[in-house]
Amino acid sequence: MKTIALVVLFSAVAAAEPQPPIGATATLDREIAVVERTPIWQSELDELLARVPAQNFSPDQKRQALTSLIDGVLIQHTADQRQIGAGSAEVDAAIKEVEAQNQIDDAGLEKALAEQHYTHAQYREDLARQIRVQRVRKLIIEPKVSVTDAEVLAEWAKRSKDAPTSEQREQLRQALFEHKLDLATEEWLVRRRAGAHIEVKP
Amino acid sequence: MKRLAVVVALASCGGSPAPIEPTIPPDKKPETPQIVEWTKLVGPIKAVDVATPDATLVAKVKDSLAGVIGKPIDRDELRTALAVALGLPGVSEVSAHATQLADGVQLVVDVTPQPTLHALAAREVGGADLPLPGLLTSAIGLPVNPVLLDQLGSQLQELYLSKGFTEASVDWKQTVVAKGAVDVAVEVTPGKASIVTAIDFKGNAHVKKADLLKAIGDSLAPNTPWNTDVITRGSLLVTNYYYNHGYVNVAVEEPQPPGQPSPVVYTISEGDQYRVGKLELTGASPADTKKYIALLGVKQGEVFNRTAITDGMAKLNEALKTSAPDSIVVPNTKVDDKKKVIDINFEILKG
Repeated sequence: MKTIALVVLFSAVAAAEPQPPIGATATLDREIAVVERTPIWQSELDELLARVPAQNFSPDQKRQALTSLIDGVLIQHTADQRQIGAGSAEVDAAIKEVEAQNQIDDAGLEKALAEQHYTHAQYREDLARQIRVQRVRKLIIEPKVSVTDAEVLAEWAKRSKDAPTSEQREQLRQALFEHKLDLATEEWLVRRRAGAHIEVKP
Repeated sequence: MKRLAVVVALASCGGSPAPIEPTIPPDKKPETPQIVEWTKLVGPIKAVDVATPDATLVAKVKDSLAGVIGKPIDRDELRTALAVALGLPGVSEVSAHATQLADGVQLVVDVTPQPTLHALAAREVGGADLPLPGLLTSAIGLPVNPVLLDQLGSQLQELYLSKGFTEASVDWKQTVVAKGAVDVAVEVTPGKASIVTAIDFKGNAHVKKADLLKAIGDSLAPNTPWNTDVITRGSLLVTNYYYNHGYVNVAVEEPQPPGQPSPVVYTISEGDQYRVGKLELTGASPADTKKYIALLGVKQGEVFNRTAITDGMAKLNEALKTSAPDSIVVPNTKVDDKKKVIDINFEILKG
């Protein structure tokens, strides 16, 4: 019993962070970019990088991470302009889907989020953002992408001499479509970046 | 002690006594505050200080951060408050740091005011100046207003897009001309104008051009500036026409702006035409099944028509509202590429 008490006391002492000296200072936040008047904060970049298992990011990797945040703002602005939203019920449904896919309940999700430096509110916002991104792709970029039968058959011919089944043809069509959609999205983002007022702070 | 001994020895030798030097304490350099990670700071935010050369901004910035006082540092909440501060007229940049106090944390927000607008011009990149709306001259001498500059940028972009400059982009840049004063240039990169001279189709082996033109309607007309939204819509309308005539694998390539007067040519890969195969309805009683299939209005053997099917489903959903309010119809399809038929199972799912 005494041993247990001692262990508890010891861990309590070990867990308590010493208070920094009075007068100690810490940088909290600053804008690192402004995209069409929407600021991107250092803390957002820090949080994004904290969710990546790797450490010691190179300047190039940090620039890439910042570009992804800038793209996120541009997509968000496009969604706002076109009144493309994501409602609370849709986010609830997405959370349920994530829980079902990962076979976890609400408590399990909270635990997993905490491990990935997410608050529940941040995760909901992130899911809402993902839904909006999907919709922007669906409504603005997808109509510009098409895959012809000839393209599917040409791609199939590179892989097999036999004729594809309907299912194989459909799977390949879908894969080609996704590939083209990714390329079209990147092209769209390049054009969107070029037409936007973006200031990256030193 | 040693110094005293030397003085005494000199005096005893008849020499004049050396002056006693005042004891000067050693220079005490101001201590550099220890810099720590923000997560190490302990306690609630006790106060917010605003550091800015523009005293008129202090109260407004403090107001925007009032909500964080009394709470521990939460960077999510803090950046929301900082964004409000950044959006205040006259604010150019904000950053925040904090200092550990005995009983909490002091938050300090550094605010850089917007410089004064010394001159404003709009021009095409490498080209002539563009006329500015007269209202904008009143902005000269005031702090730079990014909202106003963005509005001007949008107006100019719309103007160029409406003339067929589909890639026109607008940006603004500031140049420091004196301390706290800038010139702003709004620059348009127009690209090349595309004008629609005619509308044409390639690959439409089974559909007449006149029918496709009718499907597109009047929104796309010859001798008009190229409008990407209208061209995309045309592509969707052509695709829809084919879907409604059994060509379920149709692909319509959207033409790209050519940067000159040119016809709009939609390139179509029609694919094969499909008919409706086996028709089933599940989730209803046998009596209702017959009635519901009749209501759907889709018949086995007829050319597959997407709009007719969705219209039929809308009718069925409407009917279900009274008989089974939480039910919904879902179409499950199975494509037979050899027979060129699509079997459809309309499944009534109960909520």
